[in-house]
Amino acid sequence: MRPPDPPPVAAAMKLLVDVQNVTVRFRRKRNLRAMLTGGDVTFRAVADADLAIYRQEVVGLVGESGSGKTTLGRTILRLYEPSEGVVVFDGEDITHLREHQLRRVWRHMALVFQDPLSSLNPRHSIRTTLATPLRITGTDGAEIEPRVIAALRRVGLPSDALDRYPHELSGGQLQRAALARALMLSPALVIADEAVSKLDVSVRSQILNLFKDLQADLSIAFLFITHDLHVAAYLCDRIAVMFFGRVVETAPAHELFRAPRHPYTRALLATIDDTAEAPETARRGLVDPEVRGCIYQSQCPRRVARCGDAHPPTMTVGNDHTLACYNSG
Amino acid sequence: MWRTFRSSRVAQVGSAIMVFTILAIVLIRLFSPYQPNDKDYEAILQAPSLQHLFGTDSYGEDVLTRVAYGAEVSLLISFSGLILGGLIGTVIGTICGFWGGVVDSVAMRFIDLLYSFPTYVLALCLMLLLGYGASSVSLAIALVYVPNFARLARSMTTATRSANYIIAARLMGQSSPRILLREVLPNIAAPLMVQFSAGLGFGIVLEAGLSFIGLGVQPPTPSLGVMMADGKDYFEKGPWVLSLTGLSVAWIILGLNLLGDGLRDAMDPRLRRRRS
Amino acid sequence: MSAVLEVSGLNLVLDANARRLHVVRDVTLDLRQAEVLGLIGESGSGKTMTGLSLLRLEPEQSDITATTLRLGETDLLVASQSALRALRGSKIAMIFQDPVGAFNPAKRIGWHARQVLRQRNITAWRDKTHDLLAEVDITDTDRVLDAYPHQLSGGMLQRVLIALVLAAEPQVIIADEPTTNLDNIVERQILRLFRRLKHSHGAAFIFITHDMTVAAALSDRIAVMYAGEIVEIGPTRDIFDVPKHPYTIALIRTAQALQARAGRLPEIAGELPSLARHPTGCAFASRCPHRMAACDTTRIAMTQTDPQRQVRCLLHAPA
Repeated sequence: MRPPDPPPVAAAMKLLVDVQNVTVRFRRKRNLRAMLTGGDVTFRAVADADLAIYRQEVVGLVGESGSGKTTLGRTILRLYEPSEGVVVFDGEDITHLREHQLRRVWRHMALVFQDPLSSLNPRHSIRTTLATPLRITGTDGAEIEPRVIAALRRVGLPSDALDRYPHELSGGQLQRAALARALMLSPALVIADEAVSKLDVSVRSQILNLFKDLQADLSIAFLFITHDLHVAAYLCDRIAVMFFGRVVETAPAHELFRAPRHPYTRALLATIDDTAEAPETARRGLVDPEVRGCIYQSQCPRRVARCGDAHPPTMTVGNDHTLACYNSG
Repeated sequence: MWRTFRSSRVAQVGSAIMVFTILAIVLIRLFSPYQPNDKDYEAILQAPSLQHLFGTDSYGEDVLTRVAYGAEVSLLISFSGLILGGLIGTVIGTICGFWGGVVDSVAMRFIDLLYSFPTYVLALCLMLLLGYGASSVSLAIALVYVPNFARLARSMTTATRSANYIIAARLMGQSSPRILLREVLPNIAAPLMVQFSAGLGFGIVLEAGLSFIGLGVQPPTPSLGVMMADGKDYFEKGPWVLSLTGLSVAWIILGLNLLGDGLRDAMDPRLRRRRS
Repeated sequence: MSAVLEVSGLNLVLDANARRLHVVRDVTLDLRQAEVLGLIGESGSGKTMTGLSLLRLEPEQSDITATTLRLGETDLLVASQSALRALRGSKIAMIFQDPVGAFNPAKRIGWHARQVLRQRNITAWRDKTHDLLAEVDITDTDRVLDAYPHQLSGGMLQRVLIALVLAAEPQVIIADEPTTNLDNIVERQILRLFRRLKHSHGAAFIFITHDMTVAAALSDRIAVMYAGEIVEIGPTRDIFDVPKHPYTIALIRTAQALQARAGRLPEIAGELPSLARHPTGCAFASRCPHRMAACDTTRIAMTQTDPQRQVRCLLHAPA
């Protein structure tokens, strides 16, 4: 099914990111038992994942902690190297590029972190932080200052923030500064990893609005990694749901919220319905990430015999709607 | 940072001691009626008096003048030794910490080997290899301090390497040497500077020790160690030579250590004020 | 109904690096039996410090003052350290955001259960533990009791902690963001658990959270904190139906707009005031759409708008 049938609107758009069958394994800390039993010394953070992002599209990657959504995001940035599968960015296979080759690719990508304070060098003023990407790419010296000021304005920071240091700014201002840096080189893709979840409620809506404005004004594709379904629903055109390293369902946002197909998506969506006392759907078994068969089987209320045999293949079930489930009903 | 430093009592006292010391050295060099090697056999081993505030030694040389010149020599030796050791150690440590891998394993094992030698044994071996003299003492201090700086720089770099702002710098397309220089180094400079200021005091002790046993700076160059070695020979007849020189050493080390403590407090971000 | 916890005029001033931070300002609230009071605020609003003050676990370098700070018959302000220690756990207890910190990592869960029950002179601890854990929906008791804290998930650990806190049957339980670190699905389960416990136990809860929707799902009454002060307090339903303080209005409107996926979210302009520079007048004035001249100059008191509700705003002050 790769790439999935482009949606009517997206058909006109070009594929920007194409993640195909990507598996990411990390080395587990070596312990005595593993050495003695010859057990597996790696664990699988992302398993056989597919994800496509079209130019200018806003995609949400939703899942709970440990679902591998951050790992998948960073694999697209090639901060991690997949052990299987292919990552294509703007038509180029970047799966196994070396760091010096990646620098060329990275000019078109940016990452916004959950904690903005940790993402800004405490020893650099905001001016230095924003000017650095321009300096590296050999921007003419006289052009730097006006472009830095323009970037500051675009994210709604006052110009007296230029000479401040990260610890002198508030959480909302810091995330604006981090966003300004991400946009400095006009990237084609911005990956925002829980970019609003650490912010205070009263500041969060400011930043969400800022993201909305930027989506409207700039021709950038966004990947929003979040555990907050409201945020994903508000910002995204299309949403991919992850569970324990697997992408279990992707669909246009409105369709996913209207008619979720995967039992896990349904359980997840039930949590945001405040009024209805959602029925206890999820069973509370332990999830074995290396299990044979469907990753969700131990939690699933709709389990059938087949679920124990192999993880269900990802199928296209509707317009731009993919699903990995044998018994979605 | 400087505000915390200035408001710290420890730092104030330390700075005051060091300013006073350096001022005293300069003034004595400029205005003392004596030269460090002016021998006056009419006035040997005189107790402290208005003519000779620290008394005279067995050659009739003015002890205060010699302490001033000696302190300068000792400070310079210690300073140059630490600069050299600090630079080499920091370069090795940051490179090992940043890139890791085989280079890191090999270099750090070598550093550990160096570190495991007792300081004086290491210094003595080096003196025997290089011969005696001020520059050898400097090199010995440098060698002793290479592992200190290397280990500190490495651990700090390792901790910084995975910070989010370093990942952001990589994604911006900065080259590794540039990241090391512009992003990592400013963040690990503080503890290295504290190490440096703390090391200055120990450098003086090491110099004094080596010169005291005759392996360091050679007479007639006045250094604090040389003077103490002389002073011990006629301690009974002129106790002021050894004791006043020793007190001067203690005084300088006190100043340097307080300065180092003040610096450490000032650079600890938890003690730093938030200026919002 | 009688109040199990009475607080009035509570102030807490922290001594931080030669600066005095007034983190809790004139907090007055009472907690009735079998009631859940939601304490809502953003980071730095003083909600956690208020919670800690109620257990007299405020930071060491701080000054606590209050007109009344009473738990049942005990005056917490003058109680001795040993008396306070005896109260904590038995009469008043706290559940933290991070349950991991509440457990000794080197000891199994069973050991912790035994410790708690020994204080209550219960010898048949395994049977009793069985009941306690069943109450928080843990069925495979033996496996859990033999596990070390790190072997359990955050949600599971929080359940165990709640069970152990309930074992002592305290009158007042202060829960500080107990679900914030948990996944959505687990959060829902724990909230449901709290709702059930509220009925089955007679305990009164103070539920500290930054999340309006969480507070709404659980609380009988809500107190909204801003910059160290309670700006509005009243029954949950009333506050959600007709919020009165501009800050509460903005918070609720923001949460609802996000859920409704409205085009543009209403913003609360500006940022929280710095703790070191608390304004003379209303702390929210600089962000408030209804700001008047008097807001910046007068110290604003709580106004009783109806028998159940109080609000700290000049818009609702008697003329």
